[in-house]
Amino acid sequence: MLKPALVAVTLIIGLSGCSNLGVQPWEKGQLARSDMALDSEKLDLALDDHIYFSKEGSSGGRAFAGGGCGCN
Amino acid sequence: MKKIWLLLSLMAAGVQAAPSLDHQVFNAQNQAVSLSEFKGKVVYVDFWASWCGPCRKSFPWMNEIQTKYQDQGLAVVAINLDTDNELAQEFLKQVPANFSVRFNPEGDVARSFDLLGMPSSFMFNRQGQLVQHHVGFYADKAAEYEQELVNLLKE
Repeated sequence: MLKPALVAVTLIIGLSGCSNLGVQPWEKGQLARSDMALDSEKLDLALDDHIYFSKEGSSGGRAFAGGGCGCN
Repeated sequence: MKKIWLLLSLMAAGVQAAPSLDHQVFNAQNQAVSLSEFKGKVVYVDFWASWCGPCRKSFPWMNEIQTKYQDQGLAVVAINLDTDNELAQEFLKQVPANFSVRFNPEGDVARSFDLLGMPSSFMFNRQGQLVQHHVGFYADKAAEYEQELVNLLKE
């Protein structure tokens, strides 16, 4: 008696458990806010760019094919 | 065991909820009203939100078809899905609507209609049956949408 019920419950949870994950199309209001955009902070972008260039400068940063070290 | 069946039937009920005019929404006065008030007309149900760009584009078109076909029995019903009503009001100030606007901040009607994107529109015939549904609003397809409504109005 208990076993089929258990199987049924497990099946239901297993089959429907992931059906409500994620954000529904009508719930994207918060994501649509301009301060949620990846490029909303210009200063932050500039700093990221500077750090990237500093780290990758020896290999040419993002402007050159090679940095002159002969390593790529 | 009884509880399990109850759970099962509850889940089944959730699955069966489908697009229809038998749903409760709020009107501008914040009173719960049913979409069935539009039964007998060709109903164009549109789901929109203030943050949705294409929705903004669809409003002038919906204004146009409402004025053009309301005498023939068309009802345009735009259901807002903003959780914050003030945002919706601000949108309506910028883009005035001359059709029926309803509100469903909980989004339960949207869930029943199983929206795949925003905006989504659903066309019901005079018998209240769902005939057609579209995801998104494309200006170059507007003539197509209109023709579908015209066909329904002629039925």
